Amino acid sequence: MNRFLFVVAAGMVVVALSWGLSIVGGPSQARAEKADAERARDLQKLRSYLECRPGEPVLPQSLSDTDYCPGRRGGLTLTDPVTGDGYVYKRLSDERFEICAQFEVEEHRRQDGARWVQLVFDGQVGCLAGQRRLS
Amino acid sequence: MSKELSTFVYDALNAGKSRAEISEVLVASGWAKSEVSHALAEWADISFTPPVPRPHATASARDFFVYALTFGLLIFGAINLVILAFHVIDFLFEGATRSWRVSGMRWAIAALIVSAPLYFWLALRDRRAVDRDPGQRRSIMRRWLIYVTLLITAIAFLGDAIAVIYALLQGDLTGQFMLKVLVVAAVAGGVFVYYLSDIRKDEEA
Repeated sequence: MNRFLFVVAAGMVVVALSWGLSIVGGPSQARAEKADAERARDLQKLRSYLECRPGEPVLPQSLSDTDYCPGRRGGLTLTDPVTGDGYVYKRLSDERFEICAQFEVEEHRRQDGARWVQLVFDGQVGCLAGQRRLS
Repeated sequence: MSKELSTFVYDALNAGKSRAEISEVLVASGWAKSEVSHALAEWADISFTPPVPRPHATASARDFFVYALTFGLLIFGAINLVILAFHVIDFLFEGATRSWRVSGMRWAIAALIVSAPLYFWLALRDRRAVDRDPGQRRSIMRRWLIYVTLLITAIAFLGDAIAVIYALLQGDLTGQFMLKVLVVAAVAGGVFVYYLSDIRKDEEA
């Protein structure tokens, strides 16, 4: 009877561990999650920069335009932390824009959280939309 | 080491009985060989009256280390097993994991990976030692720690029962909740049954 209990206990531990690990992923998953969090933060900073006020009447043609809101360019990251590719800036009109990045973690493994709610995903590409308000 | 045993050996040696006689009589009365040899080893093997005590290291400190470690790991591992199981159940019912849950899960996984194998090894080792030498059962440390473990698992069980009734009254009795209740009952119950049967063997010995 005692051996049976031992085996059952060991079995429970093994099941819980393997299930838990399959949900949580290994170290590479954790690194991907951290990189994605950084990308989301970078996009949010870019959005606040582009929506800066008081500011310019129209959006810049590219992110590297240093004349646009020059005082607010500190702390901006324009490139992906892992791949080094530039974040994609889509100027939709004089007031509307979209900034996009390539995210690593797949949708079904993505965690809940406020930062993900605002991003619009198309496959692995997540975009943050914004609008200049002339106030 | 039992006080009566020690006093008896002293009295017997003082009365001039040989070590072989004393050993025989004690074994016939139910004492394990290791206990008898420990008791006799307390007194120097030279002919002198009264018997000369020998200095010896207390086995109790070592006992404490081994058993405290074993039962500490058991309780720590069991708690983390329950925590991990809770997270897995939540994931099954709720889908996407929240970031704070993920790091909580990782911690429980790490704790379980370290404590479970070590506990099983120590417990098996103890089981073999006790099978070989039933005198081990009388180790005070061992008995105390088993009773502490039984107490903790009993409390966990009672807490579980209270939680069920409370949830029932609150209207919160969902499948997810019941599954968690069952996990706690299984883990606490398993530990309780195993060590209760162990302690019963102690009482028989």
